[in-house]
Amino acid sequence: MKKKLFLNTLRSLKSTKSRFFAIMAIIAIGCGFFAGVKSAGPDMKKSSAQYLDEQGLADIHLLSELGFDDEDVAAVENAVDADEIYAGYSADLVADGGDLDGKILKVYSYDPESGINVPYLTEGRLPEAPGEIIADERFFSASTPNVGDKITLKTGDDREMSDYLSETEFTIVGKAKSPVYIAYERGNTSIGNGVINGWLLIPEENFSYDIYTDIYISLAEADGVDPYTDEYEEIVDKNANELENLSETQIEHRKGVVLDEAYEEINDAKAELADAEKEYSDGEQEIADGEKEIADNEKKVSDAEKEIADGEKEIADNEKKISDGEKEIADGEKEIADNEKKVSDAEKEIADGEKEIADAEKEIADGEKEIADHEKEIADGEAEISENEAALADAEKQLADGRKELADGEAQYEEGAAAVSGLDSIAEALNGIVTAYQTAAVQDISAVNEVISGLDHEGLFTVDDTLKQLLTGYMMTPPGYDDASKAAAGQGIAQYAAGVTAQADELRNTLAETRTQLDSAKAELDKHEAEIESGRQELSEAKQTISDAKQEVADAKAELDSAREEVRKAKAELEDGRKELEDGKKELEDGKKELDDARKELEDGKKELEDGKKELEDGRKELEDGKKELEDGRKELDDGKKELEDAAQEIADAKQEIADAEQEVHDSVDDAEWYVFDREYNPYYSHYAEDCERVDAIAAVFPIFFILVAALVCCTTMTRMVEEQRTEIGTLKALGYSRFSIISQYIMYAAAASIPGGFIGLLIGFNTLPRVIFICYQSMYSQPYLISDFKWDYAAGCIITSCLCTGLSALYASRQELVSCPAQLMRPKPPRDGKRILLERIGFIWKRLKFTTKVTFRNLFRYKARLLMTVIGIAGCTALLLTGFGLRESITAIVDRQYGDIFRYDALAAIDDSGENTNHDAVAESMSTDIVSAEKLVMQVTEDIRNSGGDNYETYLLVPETKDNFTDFIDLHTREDKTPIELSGGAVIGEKLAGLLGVGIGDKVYFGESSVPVNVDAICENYTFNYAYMTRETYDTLGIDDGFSGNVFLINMTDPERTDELSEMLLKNEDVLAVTYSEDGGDKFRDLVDSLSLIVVAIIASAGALAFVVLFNLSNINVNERIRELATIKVLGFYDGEVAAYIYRENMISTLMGTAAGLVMGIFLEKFVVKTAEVDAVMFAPGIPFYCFAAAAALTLLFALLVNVTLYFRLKKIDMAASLKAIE
Amino acid sequence: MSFVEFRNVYKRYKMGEVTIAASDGVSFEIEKGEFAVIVGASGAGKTTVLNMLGGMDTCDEGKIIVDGRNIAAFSKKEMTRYRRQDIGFVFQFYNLVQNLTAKENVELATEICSDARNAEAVLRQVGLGERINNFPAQLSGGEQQRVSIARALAKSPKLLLCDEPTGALDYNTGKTILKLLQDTCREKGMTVVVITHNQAITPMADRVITIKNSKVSNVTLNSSPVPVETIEW
Repeated sequence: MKKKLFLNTLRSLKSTKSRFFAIMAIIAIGCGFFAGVKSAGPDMKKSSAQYLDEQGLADIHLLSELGFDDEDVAAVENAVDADEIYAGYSADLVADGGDLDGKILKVYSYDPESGINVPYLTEGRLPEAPGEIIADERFFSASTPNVGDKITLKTGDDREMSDYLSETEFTIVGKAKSPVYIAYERGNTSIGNGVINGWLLIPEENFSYDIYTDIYISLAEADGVDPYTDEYEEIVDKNANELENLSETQIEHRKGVVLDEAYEEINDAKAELADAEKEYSDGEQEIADGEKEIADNEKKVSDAEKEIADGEKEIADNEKKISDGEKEIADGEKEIADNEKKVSDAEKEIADGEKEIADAEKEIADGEKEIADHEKEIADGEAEISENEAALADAEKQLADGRKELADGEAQYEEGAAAVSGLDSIAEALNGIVTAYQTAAVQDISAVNEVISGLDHEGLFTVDDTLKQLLTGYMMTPPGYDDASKAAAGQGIAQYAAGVTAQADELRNTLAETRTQLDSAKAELDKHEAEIESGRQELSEAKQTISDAKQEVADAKAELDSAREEVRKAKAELEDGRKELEDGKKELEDGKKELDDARKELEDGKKELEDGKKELEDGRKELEDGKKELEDGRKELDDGKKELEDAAQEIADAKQEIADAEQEVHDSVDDAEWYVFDREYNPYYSHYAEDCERVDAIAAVFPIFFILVAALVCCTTMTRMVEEQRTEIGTLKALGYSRFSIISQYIMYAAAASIPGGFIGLLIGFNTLPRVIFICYQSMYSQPYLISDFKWDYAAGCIITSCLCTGLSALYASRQELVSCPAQLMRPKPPRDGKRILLERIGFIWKRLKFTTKVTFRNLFRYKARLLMTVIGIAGCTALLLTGFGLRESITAIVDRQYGDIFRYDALAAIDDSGENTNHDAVAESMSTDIVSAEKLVMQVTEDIRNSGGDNYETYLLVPETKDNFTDFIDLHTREDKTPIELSGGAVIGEKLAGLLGVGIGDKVYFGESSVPVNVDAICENYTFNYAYMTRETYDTLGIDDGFSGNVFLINMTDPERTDELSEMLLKNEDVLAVTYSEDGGDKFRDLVDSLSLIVVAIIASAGALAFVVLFNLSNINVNERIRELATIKVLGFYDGEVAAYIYRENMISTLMGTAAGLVMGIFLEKFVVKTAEVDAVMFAPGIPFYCFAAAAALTLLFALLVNVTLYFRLKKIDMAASLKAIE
Repeated sequence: MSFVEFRNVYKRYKMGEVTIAASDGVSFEIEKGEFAVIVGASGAGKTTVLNMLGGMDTCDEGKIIVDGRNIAAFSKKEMTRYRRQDIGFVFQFYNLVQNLTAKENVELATEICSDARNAEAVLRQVGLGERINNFPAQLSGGEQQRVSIARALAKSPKLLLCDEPTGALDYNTGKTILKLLQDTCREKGMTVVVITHNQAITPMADRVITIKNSKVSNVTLNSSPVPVETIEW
């Protein structure tokens, strides 16, 4: 490498700090996560192996009901090749007093010389003298006895403390962890509530046992062998078999010893029993005597009682009589008072009556006076009426005369009127003649006469001669003959006519006057007539009034008569009343006298009664005393009887006890055997290994994913860098540098970022992640420390991989630049052309989009590679999150489903079925209390299950005694649609087990040693451990052992809280070995879930960091590449917010695409991880609930949002002047 | 008062220990409707003047009056609004968004401007009626600069600022672009400020402001500007 070129590389590191550190960070995260998670499992296993080795956890632990003596220990020593054998003692005791009162503690003997099961001190020191003890660090960390404090112990059964220990009070000198307890479960016991709370180590010297209870063996062969390997298992199995064989012979030896000791005791007890029986028969005689005496006394008492009862009856009768008398007197008094009141009322009534009569008489007198007045008035009225009638008759006569006169006047008027009209017509005729003959004339005089005769009217007008001449002359003179005379004649005629007219007018005037007079006379007459009419009317009214008044007077008289009669009657009545009153008063006086006599009599009676009562009281008192005496006698007798009964019971009990003891001795000796336990017997030992493997399985998936994404990001970043340095590459090429030198620059850059980044990540990863995971598991296991070392193999792998990632991406990115000629490179790279995108061809969508949206879509698809990167990065993040959440959900669901939906029983009582005499009915009987609502006897055995191909898995086989109500305890159903499954002729097996065996419904499986094929009837939902179920009948056909033998009671409780009561109750029964609760089973898994939650948090945090780095890095590159465009739109006047939105839209769309893709990927990833992380004994609940999707998506978007916020400030800082610069 | 007025404007940059004045008391005026050329050698301080006039940078001292308002006192937000509404900017390297067609590039500006003109009409006006749907990569340099001018004009700005508009163009194309600018000034009465190092184009301007050493060294009013066609360089 040329010096200057190297310098250039160094400088470029400095100038591109942010990019350099981004690559470093991504490499660090990737490597750290991978190496950290990957080494957690091995670290944990290694730590455990070292811990168990250092503390010398026994490889084999022997137990026996009969204990072990030195002969046994020697036999064991001969049988196996042991590093060390420690024979010790153990006991289950109860803390007495203090905070721990009643807590059950497992007490072990402690020998400081022994290298087996050495306590791991966490506080204080080891015991050095008797009476000093070490306490369970976990249990005693929460309670008060501290180092230096004392603790007192008592027994949990009916045995004496001295049977167990030489002292009862001990001083705690230290606290420790014990390799025997890998988890925090302290095991079960048959005392108290059945659960051991903690342990104590007490020096051997303090134990008062003469035989050993436990033998611990550390095998020489197993030295230095990794305990979690098959090799170790083989060694232990081989030795365990040796010991099993040895046990056959050694147990017989112990049986003999035990029987001898037991019979000695039993015989003593029998002698004691005989003495007791003699004492009992004496007591019986004494009691019979007492009973006779009491019978006599009882007779006496009953006689006295009778006498007293008679006296009492008499007194009661007398009392009744007295009270009757008193009542009678009271009634009499009341009657007298009533009568007195009646008398006074009557007197008042009489006085009222007299007053009433006087009033009535006065009224009658007034009435008579009134009537006389009225009669006088009537007579006056009648006189007036007759006067008026006479006047009326005169008026009528006058009226008739008036009328006659009026008629005469009218007749005269008519005549006058006729004369007027006659005169008028004559005047007219004359005038007519004048007119008619002015120019004419007649020849004949007859015509003139005719006219004259026509004019003549008798009495009225007569044609005189003058007129006659005139007429003749006028009419006969022809015109033109003597016109003057003719005219004179005409004149004369006209004068006549005027005269006639005047006469008529005079007459007319006279007539009119007459008319007026006539009319007024008529009016007056009419008036008179009306007056007469009204007078007549008035008169008839007056007559009516008078007759009414007369009637009234007559009525008044009648009324008055009746009133008089009434008054008379009232007077008579009043007289009668007075007489009655007098009688009443006399009677009242007599009654009062009688009453006084009665009172006196009553007083005497009462006095007599009082005396009688006193006498009776004395009698009673005497009786009471007698009875008391009797009672005492009886009581004495009863006590005697009871004592006798108790004695009988005691004797019977003692007999039974002796019989039981005999039986027990035989039983215990008969059933006795050696139990050979290896480490595997402690389930937590294998759980620990499984958990380590599970961590390893998860470790396999996540980190690889991480590294993938990290590689992607590195690739983009390096590509961008090479693009930016295009001109420089050209210049270097032009200066004559070889391709190799140029490339080595980038390789160096990549290495410079990857190697330190990788180391930093590894250092952090190795030191933190295993520790975090270990801390999670520490809540379940008592492994005290973690050994985590720097694993060079992982480190080398990680760093080489990261260098390859970055270096290869640098190579890939610069491939084009390296083949181009320098001149080409020195010219600015033409900006990438704009292109139409596919969406534009779909006109109807494209046209509807907003302008800004169009730009966004174009930009998105312009930088396809980057879009893809972003989408993959985001998708990875979302998928990781979804997997984290889903995994947690899958595990969480197990607990509730297995211990809620499937195992519906509340408690499980293990029954000892090893002996012949197990009394299942007695156990069932003892459960019929209010705590237990139902129970079911089941056989639960661990059995191998095989498919026809020979694949072999261990499973719990459950066989209920009867099928009835089995669903109330264990609800068998399919997982998908929850169809209930009924046990029938074949087997029902758990889903996981079916998967492991590769069998389906209808396939054949085999159990244990049996070669009888069993049909798989159904596959049931099951999560923890493997279970198979079948009916008793089916089991019996398998020919395993002796067929069905119930060893477990499934119990449903009325109140699941009352566990302590139930345990105590059940454990009293000898056949009940232990009681466990399904709640506790669930809790174990809940711990696991809690610890996994922390891992999920770690995943979420890492995924978040990943998302942030990816998005930030890619957005940064995006902004850098488009800095000119962004500066330009700033110059164009985009506000900061608008500029940000310009970029955000692209980011958000790619984020959404990534999120959607991630959710889909996550489903598969989760499935894969669940499959890998599952161990044989557990099935994780499949399926991811909706909220996990929502949470994963929401978190991703939140991270994206965070990036956008930081991006905002970066965009704000873009200098507009950049838009003016020349294109690089 | 003149349409554009620089009064004693200072702009200083700190380069480590040294303070350099990029504008050292710059004062000049430009009237409304004028075609003004700010000329000077590279590094003379032209671009600083342009940045301040275009609202892309602030001055440290002095007043910059545009249409009666002192933009030197504007807040950041007001400055953005000023660029958005009042200024049309023509870049030396066109600065078109490669990913948008000619029309879309114009629309990028009109989208955010309140009284913008129709994008197609403006493009037709600058003689690109046929090419409105082409991407920048499909256009020649002169055509791209026309799009850039159309983008500036579409906003109906008060002031058209052009930064070396011919700098990246060949001689003939450069001339046509200058012609377009001069015509726009004459026909639309637009105030155009061209910043260039090219002394040769000064005869076409109404006003020539010469900048030297961060100061205005000379202002010449040209009573009879010549048409672009007659200029040679």
